[in-house]
Amino acid sequence: MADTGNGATVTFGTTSFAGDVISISGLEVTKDVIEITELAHTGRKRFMVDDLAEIGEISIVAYSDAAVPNIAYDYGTSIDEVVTITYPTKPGGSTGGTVVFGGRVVSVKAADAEMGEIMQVEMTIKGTGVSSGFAFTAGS
Amino acid sequence: MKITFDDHPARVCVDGEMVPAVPDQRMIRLDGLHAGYCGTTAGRPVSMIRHYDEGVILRVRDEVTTRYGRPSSITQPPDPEEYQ
Repeated sequence: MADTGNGATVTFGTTSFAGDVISISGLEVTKDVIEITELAHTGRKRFMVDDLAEIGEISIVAYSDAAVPNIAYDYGTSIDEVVTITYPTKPGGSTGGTVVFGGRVVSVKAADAEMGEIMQVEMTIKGTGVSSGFAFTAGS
Repeated sequence: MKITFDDHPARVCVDGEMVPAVPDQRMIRLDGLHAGYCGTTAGRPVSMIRHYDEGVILRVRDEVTTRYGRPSSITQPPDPEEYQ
């Protein structure tokens, strides 16, 4: 079903952040492709796929002058922040689709202050894959 | 308004079975609708995914405190009407 991103949210399971979010980039999980062609092969190159996936990063943009997650937060034994992106609940549904991954805030950027421009902060959360993996779950 | 708690909706496949991916968090439902998340222990944040009135937030805080212990904070998206 076609839908827009209005109503999507991002939440952090250890620390917390709330802002006027205007964009959340989608999480990309990838596996490297490794060439295994041998000199004896003919006709086409051969490839295999790495056993392990790399959890990418997401970028969040929000209206603000300075409110960003605490990049210096000491997680102690928590290791990761469990990040949940919740997509809008479809009409007639009761649960939004979710993307969950373990990650850490690796970049925060305060707003550029310019005349005639709305101030926006930016942050990047990188999937670490350490204590939590990732899960893409459809809404219902 | 009825406040209920379910497993976090994210699922992963373990041995062919879909199981909760985030066992230390719960999904908060208000009148059956997905409304936010909380931890299963005290000191974890409550993160609402929609904006609610203060009275609703206080009731959610009390219910989470009763079941799982006092949360560290409660955050929610800003009121969409606030800037219009």
